[in-house]
Amino acid sequence: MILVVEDNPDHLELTLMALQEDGRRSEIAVARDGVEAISYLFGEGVHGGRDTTHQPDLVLLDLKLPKLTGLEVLQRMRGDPRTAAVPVVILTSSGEEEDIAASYRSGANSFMRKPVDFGEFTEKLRQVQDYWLQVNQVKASG
Amino acid sequence: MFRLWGSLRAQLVLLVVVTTVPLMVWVTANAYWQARAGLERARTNLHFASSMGALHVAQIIESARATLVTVASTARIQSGLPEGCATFFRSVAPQLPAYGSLGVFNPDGHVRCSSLAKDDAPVFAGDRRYFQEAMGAGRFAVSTYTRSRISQAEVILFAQPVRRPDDGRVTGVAYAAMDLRTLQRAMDQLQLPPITRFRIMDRDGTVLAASSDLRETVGSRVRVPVLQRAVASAVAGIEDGEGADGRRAMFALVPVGAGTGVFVSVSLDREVAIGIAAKQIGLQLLGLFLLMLIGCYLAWRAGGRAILEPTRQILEVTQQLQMGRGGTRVGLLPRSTVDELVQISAGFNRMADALQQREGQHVAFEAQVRHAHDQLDLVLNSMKEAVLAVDQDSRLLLSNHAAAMLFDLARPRLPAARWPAHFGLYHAGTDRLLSLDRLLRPDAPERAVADFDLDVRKPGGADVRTLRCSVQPLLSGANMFGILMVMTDITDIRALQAAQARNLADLEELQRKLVEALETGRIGNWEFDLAAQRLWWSDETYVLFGLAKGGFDGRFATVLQHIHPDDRDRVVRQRDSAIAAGEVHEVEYRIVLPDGSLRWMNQIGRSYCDARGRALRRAGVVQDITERKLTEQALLASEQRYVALFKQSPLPMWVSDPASARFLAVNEAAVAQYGYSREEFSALTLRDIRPASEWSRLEGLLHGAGPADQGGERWLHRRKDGSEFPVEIVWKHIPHGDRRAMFVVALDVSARVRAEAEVHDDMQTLRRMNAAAQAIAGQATLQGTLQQVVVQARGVVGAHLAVITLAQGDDWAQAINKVSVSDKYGDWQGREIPAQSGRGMHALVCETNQPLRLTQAEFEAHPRRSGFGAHAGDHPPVRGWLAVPLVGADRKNMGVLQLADKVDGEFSERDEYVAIELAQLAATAIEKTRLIEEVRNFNAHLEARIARRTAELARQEALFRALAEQAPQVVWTADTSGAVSYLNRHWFDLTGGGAADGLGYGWMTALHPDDLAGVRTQWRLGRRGKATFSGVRRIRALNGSYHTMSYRAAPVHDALGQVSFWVGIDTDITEFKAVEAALVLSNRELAAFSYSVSHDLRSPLSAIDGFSRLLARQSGMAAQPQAQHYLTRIQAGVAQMGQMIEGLLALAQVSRASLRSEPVRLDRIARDILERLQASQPDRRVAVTVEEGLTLDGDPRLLQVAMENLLGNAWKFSAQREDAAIAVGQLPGQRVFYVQDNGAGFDMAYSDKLFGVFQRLHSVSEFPGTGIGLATVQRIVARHEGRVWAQSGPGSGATFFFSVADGALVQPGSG
Repeated sequence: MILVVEDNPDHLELTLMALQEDGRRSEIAVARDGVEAISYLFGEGVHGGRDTTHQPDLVLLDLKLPKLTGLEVLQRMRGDPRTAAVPVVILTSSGEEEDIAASYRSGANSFMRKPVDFGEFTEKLRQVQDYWLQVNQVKASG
Repeated sequence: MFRLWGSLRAQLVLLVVVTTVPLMVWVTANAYWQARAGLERARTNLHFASSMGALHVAQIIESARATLVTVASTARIQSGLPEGCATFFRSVAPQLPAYGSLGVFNPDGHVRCSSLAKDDAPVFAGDRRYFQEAMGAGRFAVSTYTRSRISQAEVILFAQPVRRPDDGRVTGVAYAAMDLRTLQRAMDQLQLPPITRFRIMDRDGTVLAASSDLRETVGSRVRVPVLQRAVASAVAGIEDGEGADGRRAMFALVPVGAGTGVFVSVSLDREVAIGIAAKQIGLQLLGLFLLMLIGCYLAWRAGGRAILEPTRQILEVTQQLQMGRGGTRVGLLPRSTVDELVQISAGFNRMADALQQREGQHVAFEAQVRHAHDQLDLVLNSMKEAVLAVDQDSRLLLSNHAAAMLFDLARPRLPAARWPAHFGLYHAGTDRLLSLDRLLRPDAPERAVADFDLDVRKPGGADVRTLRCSVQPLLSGANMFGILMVMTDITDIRALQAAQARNLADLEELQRKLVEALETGRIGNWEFDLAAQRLWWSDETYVLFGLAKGGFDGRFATVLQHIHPDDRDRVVRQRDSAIAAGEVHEVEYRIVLPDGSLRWMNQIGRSYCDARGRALRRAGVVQDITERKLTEQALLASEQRYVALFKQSPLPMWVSDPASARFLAVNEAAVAQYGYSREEFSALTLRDIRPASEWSRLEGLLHGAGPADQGGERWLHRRKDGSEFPVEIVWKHIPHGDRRAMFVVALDVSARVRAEAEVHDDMQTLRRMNAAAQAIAGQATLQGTLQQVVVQARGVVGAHLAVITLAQGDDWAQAINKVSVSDKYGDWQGREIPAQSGRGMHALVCETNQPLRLTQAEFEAHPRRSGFGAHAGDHPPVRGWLAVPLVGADRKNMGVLQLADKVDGEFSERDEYVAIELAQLAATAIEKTRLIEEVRNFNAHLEARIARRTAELARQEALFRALAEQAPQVVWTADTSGAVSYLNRHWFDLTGGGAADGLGYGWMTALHPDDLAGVRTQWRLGRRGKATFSGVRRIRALNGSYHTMSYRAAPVHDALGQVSFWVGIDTDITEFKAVEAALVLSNRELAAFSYSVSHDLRSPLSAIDGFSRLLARQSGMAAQPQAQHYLTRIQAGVAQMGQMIEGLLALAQVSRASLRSEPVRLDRIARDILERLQASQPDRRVAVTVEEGLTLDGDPRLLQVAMENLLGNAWKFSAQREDAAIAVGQLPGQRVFYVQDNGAGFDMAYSDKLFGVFQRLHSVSEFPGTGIGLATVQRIVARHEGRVWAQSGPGSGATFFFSVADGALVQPGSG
């Protein structure tokens, strides 16, 4: 399952398109700001009662978010044992060195700058999915 | 018995082996671990490389799929009709050069149309698996290795079913054939790690592409069994196996994507991974083994030569020495002998030398001992004393001949302890037997007495002999092992000594008595041998004559020479008559001592006759009687002197009887003094020469218990004429005949009493003088001083009239006069003193500068007397006149002090002295008061000047204060302790406080608390260095806001160069600060802006691009080429916009980034960039020249960006030339670098626009670009303190130069 945290509706739609490109049918959850992402991840508020032992296999996280920023979400995730190991890929239009450095300091697994070219974006997202969902191993396989 | 490991050389060999073996073990283990690590690394590398390869191939397949999806969604293809089909593919194919052919199959398997123009022979693909898969399963399929039936090329095909949009029926299969060489090129570009090889296989294990050096044939089955198995089972992983060339290798296999049936394998020679380690271990082990063998051999040889041979030699010599051959020595050892053995053999030889020498010494010593023993025997036996030595056990150790004669020692074995009893040895004079046992005890008391006497009494015999026995312990170290006795027979000596001692005692007693008698009476003995005519003197006689003992030759004539010449005849005469008469004679005479003094002697002598009465000798004594003679003479002289003194003394003296108080004797002086004759005196008593008032005192003296002698008492005596006079008497009780009398000396002291009175008067005058001087000196004005002088002068001297005249130059009419008069002149008080003329007597005094003292008569008769002027009629006569001049410090006359009409008698000399003193005092006082008046005048003048000056200063200060008050800055002054003493109006306008709030240290309350420490530091520094100090501080204004002030203070020095006070000015720079802050804020906003450009401007671009692409995919859009074209243009525009934003961001980054400076290799950077450019466009041929070793100091990241732009431009603008050339270099000897190309160039007329942002000299269609690159370059170079410029002409290429400063970098915010 993939959790996409994105506030810009244009970007969200494009991201979802790109993720489903190629006929993939991954289960996708969406959070439109940092607070919603947190409440989803920890089963609070509107997502009360969610089984929090079942966490996303990948979180695509934008940095510029209303309410809680992407970095704050990331820090909260890394501070909680339930989400500490969940792979997080930062997905943002900024390429600032400071943003990259801050992301890795806060525990991001990967930093991806959204390319303007949609084809490129799609291709990159596909690689991200391939790697984090297929190649990467989070838990010991049963 | 030979022990193998007991041998030293064997142990050496063993040591070599033991050292080498662990080394070999270590080498082996090390190689093993290196091999393990190499394998592990290789696995990691393989995993990485194969994943990368698989991803790359997957991308290729994916792009083919995307292409085919697009084709399949084209309406023209979906329709299933052949019309326009070939045209479509031929128009699309050039845009997709990766595929050798594109086309579509009909559902029956025949090619409907393709991009290749081979329509004549319809190709059938219905039997191909990929076709069946795409057709049957209706999904994208990838073929296995295929030889194209159209082009005969080796290809791999991708197939995508085409569905009709209305019913979804499959109307065909679109395909794309990729030439395997294209695949091969794509893989070659992937740049896998250089030691790895790749293979791409289809599901049958047929090789599709492989690294060129793998000897795999495309199209045939892979020749590696391991891979064949892995492909068959389609299992990913890493396996070891044999390669096609038979070498061991590791193979990583990864399937590409899902269901594509393509596998990527990457292999690595096992030997490459671990080869080095494996090869090395064999060599190293062999080397170590050889080393060990050589070591063993050397140890064996060295052990033999260096140790065994020398040891054998030493052993042989030891045996020789044992056999007594003392001269044997260890010979020369082999040169390789170890040092320790050489030292041992040298030590061994030294030891043998020492042994030989000892033996020689021993023999010589024995001979000496024998000789000494013989000599001892000789000495012992020649001694008269008996010598016996006995040991602790009473055994006789030694005896000599004398001992044998004394005791019968021939009888052997008589223990010494029994000798006393046997030989009768007793302690001298006792019946106590000698105990040898006690002597032999170590603590024997007898031994403390070194010598003692023994009696030898033979039993029954009366013969007793006495022996002096001396005992000494025989010591061995501190222990006694016996005693040595030396015995001397002293029997005869004892007897002799006793007799002598008795005689001596008698004689001594006799002599003592005689000497005593003689010494007591200073009496000397003499004896004269008449026959020999020799004279003998006792010691005392010598002393009496003042001669050293023996200093007399015994002749009588010599004696005479010592006798006084006047006495010689008498002495000779008396002596001769006495000898003739044979009677006793006594004579007194004087002798002359050697020092010339005389001594009186009394000599008595008598004759001693033989039996016949003939005189043999005369003997007698001589005695010193000088003292007696002198006393007799002195007594006589004393009496005579006394009488003469009494008679002739000028002092009155008498002797009186204290009982009757009558005069017993009176001298001439008394007669003269008292006026009584000697006869009258004899009738008088002591009372008669005194007034009656002294009588009772006299009684006390005569009968009282007063002291016997007295002197210095003062009495009043009376002469015969009744006049009285003071005397001092001295008396003494003396014997007068048989009575006690009183001797009196009376001294007339009337003169002394008079002198004392005069002294008293003088003292009084001096006291008055002193008071007068104080009174005069106490006057402050001239008039007062003059008045006081006359008053005091008249009082001290005692006159009725005193006048002082102070001359004013020569004009006597102007002279100042002061007068003092007594009551006698009472009615003269206050009368006007007439002006003095310059001719009178006082003028005379002034002219001569000498005092003048006249009696009344002299005064009245003086020729220059001017009379009393107008008062001549009623002026009483003056008794005497005294005038003294007033003389200044310069010895010039100032005036005259006159005293007239003395109260008592005439003016004396003393009065004159007093007047002179007073005049001197007056002169000094007058000069002093004149001086004071001058000073007072001068002071008054000075004060006026000061007042003028003060007023001027006040005016100046008012001016400065007004200036300071009006100044637009805060002006202040502070004293040296930092307390503020002045603040101008601006301060109070600013802070609003009153004067008390700012002055002193009050201003500190208006200071911003954070600035206090800084101001204090500056103040301390300034004060220590006495120098100007400055800084910035914030002052709280009236409205509570803080104003930023730039202050500067300087010291003001006084005439001595010391700091007098400080002056400072605070300038309000608040507005300046605000502008500065705004600038900083603006810079921050700029940074925020560029961030937002990065984030926010790109965001909508992504949306535009994304949705335009999605739009292009929409069904229906594909049928509208115009719409597709527009969408493509939109995407191109978006891409251009994205690049421009990127460029702008980079430009901003250049300005914002902080730089670090380090050496940068510009040539390497240039080569890397050029290689990348070449790789991006492999078809272009560009001649590249990069100068070697281009190095400069700078920021490596920025310089990389600059070079990317410059080289990118060069690459871009030379694209249209066949013979493109690019050069990078440095101007010789300068820090100027350049990038040169021979491309399109530009017109130098526009060179000023070259480096502006968005400035372009070529159209986008001509050369693509954003117009930011060169601006970025310029900014980077500027950050390096450098300059960039260009040279060019249209069509003649361009050269871009840039210079950099030496290591200087401009940090952001500083420029």
